[in-house]
Amino acid sequence: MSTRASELTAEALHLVAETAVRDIATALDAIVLRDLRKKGVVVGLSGGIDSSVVAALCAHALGSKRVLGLLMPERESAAETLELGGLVADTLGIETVVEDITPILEAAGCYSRRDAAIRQLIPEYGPGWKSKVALPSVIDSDRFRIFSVIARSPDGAETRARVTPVAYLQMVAATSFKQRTRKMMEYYHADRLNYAVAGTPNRLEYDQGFFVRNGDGAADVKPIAHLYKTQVYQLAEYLGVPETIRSRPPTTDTYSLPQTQEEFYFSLPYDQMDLCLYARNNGIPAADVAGALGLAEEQVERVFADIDSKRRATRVLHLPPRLIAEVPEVGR
Amino acid sequence: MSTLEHEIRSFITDNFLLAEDAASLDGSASLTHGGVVDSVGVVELMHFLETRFGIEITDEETIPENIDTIDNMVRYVSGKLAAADALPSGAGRVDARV
Repeated sequence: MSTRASELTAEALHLVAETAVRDIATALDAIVLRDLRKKGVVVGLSGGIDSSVVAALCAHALGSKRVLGLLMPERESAAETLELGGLVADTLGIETVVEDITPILEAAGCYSRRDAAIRQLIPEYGPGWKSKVALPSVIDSDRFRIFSVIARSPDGAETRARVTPVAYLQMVAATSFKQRTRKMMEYYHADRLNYAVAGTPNRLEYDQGFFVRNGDGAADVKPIAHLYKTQVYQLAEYLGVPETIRSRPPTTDTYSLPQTQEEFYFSLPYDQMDLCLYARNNGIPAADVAGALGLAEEQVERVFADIDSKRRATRVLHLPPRLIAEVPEVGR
Repeated sequence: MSTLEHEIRSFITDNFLLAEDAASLDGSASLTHGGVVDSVGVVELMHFLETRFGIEITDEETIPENIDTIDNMVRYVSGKLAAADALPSGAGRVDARV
């Protein structure tokens, strides 16, 4: 028997925050202190909801003195990133360190390699321009979701160009320096303190591969990877994450132009995307989801297909390194 | 098998199947649903079709009916080339010696 649409909206993603927080805290205590035998955790604070909730959960589980918040802006970060990350740290009473990663990114060629890739598509792209990549909506048509680069000149004129394979892959490879540099800094501080690194993906991101391998995908523990984003917001309210952070739209904070997660990766706003993923995971028919979300059944089928496609395409991101032969003495 | 289809199958073998041969692929099978190509693979396929056959794929034409199977690609590219040939000399395509 399938879950009906009314149940899908009202009940499916509701959790009892007090119980969920208690269970996660118990697990964090066991994983960090007993299994990993680390003295605390490092959390990269972006000013977004996920890292804020992870920091709050860690502080709740281990005590605020065992949590270090890292603020890692770079020259293209949104202006409010540093302020909001500091706000949540102050609220939780955790220590913070600010690491401006711009010089590292410049030295690695993050910006110059990315800009060179963009110039393959938009030759006039240069100093003072800003850019982002965007996908067409999966809801509006059955067109393949092919990235375009959107560039804005210093005088405000926008240019859009569909990506080529070489330019796209180089852009992604170059911008991934940001996530990998942040993770490198997190492990520097974790190593010097004998702490673990807490990752911040929610279930949508974890399931759909919305992370950089060995970048934000790397961590010793991922406290909210099993929670839908809607549930992360429920915990945020319970844990007292500031309203300013809870009301802020999710962004990627990766490109120099403002970019929502929907236009970069997901098909729908997170609350609707959560319900589609939940429905896909639980065998709820597209027709029921369509009724609950006010979409056509055909549109929900496209979202389901997009979910399946992303799972297939990002499967390798989850895999550990492959060995040619088993080494049974290791990893027990 | 036409030269056009052979070239498309060779491209799929060299770029997506790698260790297998596209000669055995069902021409009517979805390449995306079958896990042969992902979203980046679609971009690679489109770029190949545009540069090799001298056609322009508009945004509106980036649909499964044109690109998701070998048969669809053969039909779509053939149609684009035929339409270009119907135009005054040189007006429709860049280099389409197939």
